[in-house]
Amino acid sequence: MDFGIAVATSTNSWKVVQRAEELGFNHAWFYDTQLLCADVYAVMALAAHNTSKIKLATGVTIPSNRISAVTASAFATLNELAPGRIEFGVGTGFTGRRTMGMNAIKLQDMEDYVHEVYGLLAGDTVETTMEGQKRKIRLLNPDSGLINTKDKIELHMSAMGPKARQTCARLNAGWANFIGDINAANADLQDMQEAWSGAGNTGDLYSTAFALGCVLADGEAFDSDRAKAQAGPLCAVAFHNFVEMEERGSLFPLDPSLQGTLDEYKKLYANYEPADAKYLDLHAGHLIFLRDDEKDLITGDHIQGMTFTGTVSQIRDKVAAVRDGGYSQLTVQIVQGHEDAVEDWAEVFKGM
Amino acid sequence: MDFGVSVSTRSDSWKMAKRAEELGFNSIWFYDTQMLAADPFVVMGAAAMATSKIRLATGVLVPSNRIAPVTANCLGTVNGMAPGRVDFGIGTGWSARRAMGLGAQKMIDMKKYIQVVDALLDREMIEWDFEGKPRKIKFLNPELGLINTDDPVPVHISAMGPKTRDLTAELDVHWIDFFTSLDGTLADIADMDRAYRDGGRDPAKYRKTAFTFGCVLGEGEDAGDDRAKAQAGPVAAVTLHNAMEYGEGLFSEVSEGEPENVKAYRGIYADYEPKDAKYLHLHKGHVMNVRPEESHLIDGDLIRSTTFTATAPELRERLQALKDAGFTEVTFQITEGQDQSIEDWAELAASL
Repeated sequence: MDFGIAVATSTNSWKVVQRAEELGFNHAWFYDTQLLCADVYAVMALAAHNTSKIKLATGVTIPSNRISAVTASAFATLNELAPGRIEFGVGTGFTGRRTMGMNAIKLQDMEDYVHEVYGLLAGDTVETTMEGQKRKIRLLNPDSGLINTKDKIELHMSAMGPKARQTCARLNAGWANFIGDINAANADLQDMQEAWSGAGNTGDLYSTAFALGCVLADGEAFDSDRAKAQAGPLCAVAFHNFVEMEERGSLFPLDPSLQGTLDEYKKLYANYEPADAKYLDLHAGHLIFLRDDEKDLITGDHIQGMTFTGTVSQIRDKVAAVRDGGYSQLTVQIVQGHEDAVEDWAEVFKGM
Repeated sequence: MDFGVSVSTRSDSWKMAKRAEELGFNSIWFYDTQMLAADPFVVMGAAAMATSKIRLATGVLVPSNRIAPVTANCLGTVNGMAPGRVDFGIGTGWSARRAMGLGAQKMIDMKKYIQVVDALLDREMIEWDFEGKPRKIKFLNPELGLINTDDPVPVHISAMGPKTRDLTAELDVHWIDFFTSLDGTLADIADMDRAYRDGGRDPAKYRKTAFTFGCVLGEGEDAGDDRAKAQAGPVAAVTLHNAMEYGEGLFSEVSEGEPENVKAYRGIYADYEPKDAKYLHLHKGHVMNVRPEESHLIDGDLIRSTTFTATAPELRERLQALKDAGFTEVTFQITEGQDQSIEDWAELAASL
């Protein structure tokens, strides 16, 4: 099994990525969330500069952020800085668009975008629609050495629902999934495998499970400050998602045991300002830190249920379960300000 | 007066940034031409790491390439890597959009775009039109330091006509001009000063940068010789490319009394394929190289009359005139593959 780290992209992310490479991690994934983090492509340039083996991937980039040609050019630029180590993670935009008060883009639009980016990288002339006009475009001098379009850039797609998984299979892409509960994670993978073979793919599916968590010291509680800081943001994101469920749908079904906390979240939400843009407060710190107002709502039970938190041996059992379930890679997010956690995770993964 | 360099962005342009810094240049400007070159923000990230004094600028960014929040985020990111050394050059898109068969963007769209980027970098909430609806947006956690919103990022508008110059004054920002002829450029700055005064601004407060493209001729060297042609020819060719697209619905100007070389170029242009996307061939190698089929038309006369090409004493006189007229910076394009020319320009600049 491969192991990776994910980061809420920051101008200094290259340091933890460099350390992850030294510790033997295979991948580093960088979030593309323009109102929360730093720019994914600029930060990947620094990481490319300071590493030599680790794979660097967008995790995941959002089509509506940049026109397809800009994304193709950015990937080809990085691919020259780190030849053959750049990977293209893509999704329809949950975090990145919710922070702007918007739903995800249509799957079809994402699929078209992926085809345009790969068409451009292959040197093809592709048709794109810009400002309501259809235009033929291609990279005009890919052989000039300004960029690298030769080394392959692998595709991964974040796909939470059945239709998205069909798209992922049709694109013959690697699959990225955020996981918490192990049984649900493995059930997701089975669904994805069915979609994969249903699409007639003959090669193996490459699947990456994204998790947050905290390696607890002996006797440390699930709701310790450390655990809350390192694992809590994923629990909070689940509730951010549920709060907007009526308006925007949900990424996953609501477990009845979470209703009480959700009600508390809704009370907070009722007071967020401005009233026509409550998403601004709701998503502040999204997948990065727990806000003061939500800190007490996230409990040890949430952390235990939704994240990879426990002692080394407890976490190893979970890792073994997803490995045996068939996941190709497990990636853990290293939370800003807790970069030392990468050492804990290296210890957990050692010898697995 | 300061001096800078500009480049068709390459994956390894950080090397040029480093050399420019060593030679005492004030700034390096990276083109945002996704169909032709590498991504400016990726490269600015790498350049930030390799330098410590030189200013890093988009030269110029095209609004339609990325949504405004992404651009604000990119600028904040590079500003985190090179604090206080980032400049935001912007235009309505000539090279980048023509290479996709599109005319320049509307000025009003560029204006709104600048306002959104500026407000976000000032940590303000702003209403932004996207996908047909106004949305309130802001950076949700700028205080975390994942990006730098503390150091200012000055805005420079590339403004070739009176209306865009009026907008430059209205927005209280700096100005970029493209040197064509000395008389033309002196007339440009007189009009820019007029626009600042009309807008109630003091013209002396602003940065006024002239971009030049050319070659420092040696003793007895002609503008049509190989070296000059390699350095200045690609830009001279652009004047002919430009003429081909007049009257194709993209541009309002129609050239009168066509010169012989334009007529001759029409013969070449007639054969470009595909017929509905001739721009794909016409702009291949734009400002980087002269194509074989056009080479015979790019002669000494054209290069002398349309570019910044002359002997050192003559160029020094022109620079002195630009300085006297109030330009605060002149940039020299280091043409793709002609890296050694930076030494000539440094010597010329030092002699002023």
